Amino acid sequence: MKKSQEWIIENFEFLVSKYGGKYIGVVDEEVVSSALTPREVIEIAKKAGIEEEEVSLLKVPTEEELICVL
Amino acid sequence: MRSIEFKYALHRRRDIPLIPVNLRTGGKWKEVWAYVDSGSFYSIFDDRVAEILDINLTEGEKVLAVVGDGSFIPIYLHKVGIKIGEDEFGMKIGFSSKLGVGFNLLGMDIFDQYRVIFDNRAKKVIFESYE
Repeated sequence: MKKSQEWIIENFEFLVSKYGGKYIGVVDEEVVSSALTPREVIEIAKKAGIEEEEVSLLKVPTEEELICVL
Repeated sequence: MRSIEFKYALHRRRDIPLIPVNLRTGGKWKEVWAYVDSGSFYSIFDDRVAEILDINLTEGEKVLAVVGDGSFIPIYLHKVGIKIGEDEFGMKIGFSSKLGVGFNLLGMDIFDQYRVIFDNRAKKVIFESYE
């Protein structure tokens, strides 16, 4: 597993509390961008000099959405 | 037989089978996370993911899918390249602006490619290839 993938799994609860309802882009162990759409997330990351293939895109559910799913 | 394992994410002591997949339609791969949902017939991603894959949403085959509250939502099926671990193949994924859940969903159609095991004791979901 890539470092970003492990980090997302290990920090999922924190991500929900901080970014619920948004898309985030993660590289290694860092959220490099967050926005309402994945296109914006990628654009922000690219402006920061990050290649889009490096960005792991997660649609972060809200607490309420998690209750509905689970 | 090859297998790929993904640890469950955890939220409020509940296990969540969330895995990274790579998608593309000819351009660069995009890594997008999806919830492995054995209750969903189709894999359904929100329409904003279609945007980054340069997919014209309404050009796909339109079908209706039933969601949790019993209502129908329109989804548009498109053939995309998908990569799980190191395995690459093509499959139809539905995209919808009405998904209304917090995750993109990897549905039963992926089970045609893999034997999927939800190993709750080990806290992981395992994708075993049929080859």
